[in-house]
Amino acid sequence: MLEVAQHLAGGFVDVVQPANALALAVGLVVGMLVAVLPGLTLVMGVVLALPFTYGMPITPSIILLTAMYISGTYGGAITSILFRIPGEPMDVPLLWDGWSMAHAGDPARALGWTLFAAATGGLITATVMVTLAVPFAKVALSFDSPEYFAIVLFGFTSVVTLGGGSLANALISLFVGMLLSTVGVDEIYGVDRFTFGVAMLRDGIGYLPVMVGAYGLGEVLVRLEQGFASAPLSGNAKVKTRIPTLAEAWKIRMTFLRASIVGVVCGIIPGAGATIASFVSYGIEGQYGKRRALLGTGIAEGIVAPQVSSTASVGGHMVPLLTLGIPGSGATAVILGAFLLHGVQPGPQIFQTQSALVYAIFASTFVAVLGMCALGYFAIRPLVKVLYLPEAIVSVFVIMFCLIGAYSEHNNLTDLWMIVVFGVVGYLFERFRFPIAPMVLGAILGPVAETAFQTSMISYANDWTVFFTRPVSGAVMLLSAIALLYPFYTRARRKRAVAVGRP
Amino acid sequence: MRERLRVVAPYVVVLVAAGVFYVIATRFDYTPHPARLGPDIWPRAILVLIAGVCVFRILTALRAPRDEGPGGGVLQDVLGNAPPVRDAQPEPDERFPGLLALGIAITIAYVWLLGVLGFALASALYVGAMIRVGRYRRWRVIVPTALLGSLAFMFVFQKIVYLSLPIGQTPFDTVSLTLMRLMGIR
Repeated sequence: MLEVAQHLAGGFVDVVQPANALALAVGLVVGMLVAVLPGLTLVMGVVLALPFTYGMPITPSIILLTAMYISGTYGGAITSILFRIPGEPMDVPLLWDGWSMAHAGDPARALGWTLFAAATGGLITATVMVTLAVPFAKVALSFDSPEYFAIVLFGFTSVVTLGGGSLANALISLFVGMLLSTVGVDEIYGVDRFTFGVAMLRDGIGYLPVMVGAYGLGEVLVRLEQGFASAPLSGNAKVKTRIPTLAEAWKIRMTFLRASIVGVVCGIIPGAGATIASFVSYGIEGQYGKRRALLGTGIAEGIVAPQVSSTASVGGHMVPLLTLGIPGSGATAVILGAFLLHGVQPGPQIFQTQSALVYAIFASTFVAVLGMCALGYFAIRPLVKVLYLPEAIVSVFVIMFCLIGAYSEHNNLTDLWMIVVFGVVGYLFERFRFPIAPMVLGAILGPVAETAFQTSMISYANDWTVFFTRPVSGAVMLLSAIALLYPFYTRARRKRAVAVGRP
Repeated sequence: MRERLRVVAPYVVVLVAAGVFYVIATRFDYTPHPARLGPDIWPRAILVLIAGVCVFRILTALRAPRDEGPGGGVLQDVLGNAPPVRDAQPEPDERFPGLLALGIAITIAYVWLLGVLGFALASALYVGAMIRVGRYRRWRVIVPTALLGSLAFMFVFQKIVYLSLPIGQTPFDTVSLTLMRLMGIR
């Protein structure tokens, strides 16, 4: 523990170096702006920032992206509460109580609760990250390919079953993403797969064009079809923040505790992101909260639960990324991309080979949470001003960033065609109600799953039972089965309830 | 019947595509290695799963087109029990497929023109055209936004990020090179 504290102190020294501090400040501001703007999601923002990190050293690069990730979980709350516009999907639950509290004449208090919740969630997640990462990495050292395969499979099942919408559509989306990741030259046999003689396909389809195209261009195309018809701003123009007292916060300490646990756990599970954490936390508050009957009328618990969870999920996500090299979300996939671009492979060994970098990231998380709070408190007025920009102008610059971001990876115009193709695919997915997140996760984790599967088959003489007979992989496979069966169970339960006349 | 066909159509398309890709996967050209799975196993397994889900969905949709089958558990539960103030901004009813087609066409043209006109010229045209397609009509804003936006991108990405953006073909490369010289980009 003392050793961790010493490393962390060194991390804080690194963070205050001018280049790192500047990256942190820029990341916080940009992350918050991205989250405030509807239509520009946090993942897109992190993707668009990636090309700026190519010429930077690795430490400020990762600090920049992590700071964006953290502040992005808070920025959208402001517009949810003040204007009834959720900046991010994760901010939708904040409409139910945050907007209601603001609408009832107390926007300053609603904003104060959100800020306090984000700060609490952020500090808890940073602490958990520091505490869990080292033991997690030690355990991960004993993992073999069956364990990696089982963990990735669990990520797949959780993204498919936790999200809303049709299970069949989510599965198809996931499989399409996995299939995309098979395009190119096979690593083991050196065989062309689905390249159709096209040279650019031999390098494979990276997850970046899939993400940038589907999330960035696809979303803009959806909004273009609606004529960029965002409703004019209405709501509370007052942008003061009143932080709750500690006594007020203590009264709902169990909400803070429940939401923190949900946030961290949802973060650790690959595939379950901040949005799921936010919704699940609100749902749990509705089940177990003392004042659950008042949820939706504008009570603090309804603001605290989703906000604490969404911010707390960040640290949870960083743990598997750093210790296993497995990104559980779009944003962490981009951060993994930044690591790889700088020649660093996250995994259990990173704590030995790059401990200064890891602890600088940890320390930057603490500083980022405090910086986010300061920014949220003092700079809220100019932040919401970006909402007054015409949507057509913002959208075209989003597309420009998407295209340049994709181009910058290889300095190759052919990559832009990929963006256009996946932009149209993203639009079609939205149009026909196929969720995009499973496809993106399939494209990200597909190669990890295939490599782990093939390696297991080679190492264990094609004995597929190895995934079930090893204790850790067996337990994770069981969790996957439960996750996959859960929607069938809830459907049967709902049907039964309808049959006996209960809502 | 029409509703059934509308619901089933996307799954039929995906099913057919999965079949075609499966056939392609069976024809991967490789030398089999004893006691090792081939490079076709993984994609074929994925394609079988896609086909299985499609068939399941087609059959259930033919029986009850409005029933989407089992849904995502937790979010569905929370949304189902959400309080009355639940909608953000209502989804706009009106759709503009013409704008969408135009937007896609302009974006394709932009990617093609980048190599011909160079980044500065192509981007200025693209930004201006897309803003107009997005139903923004104030030309006094559109023109300076397009020109300054294009130059700002060029400056940031070439001068600060050191990215090599396309300069275009003769004679348009003269414009790009002149602008680069004026901005001090080497």
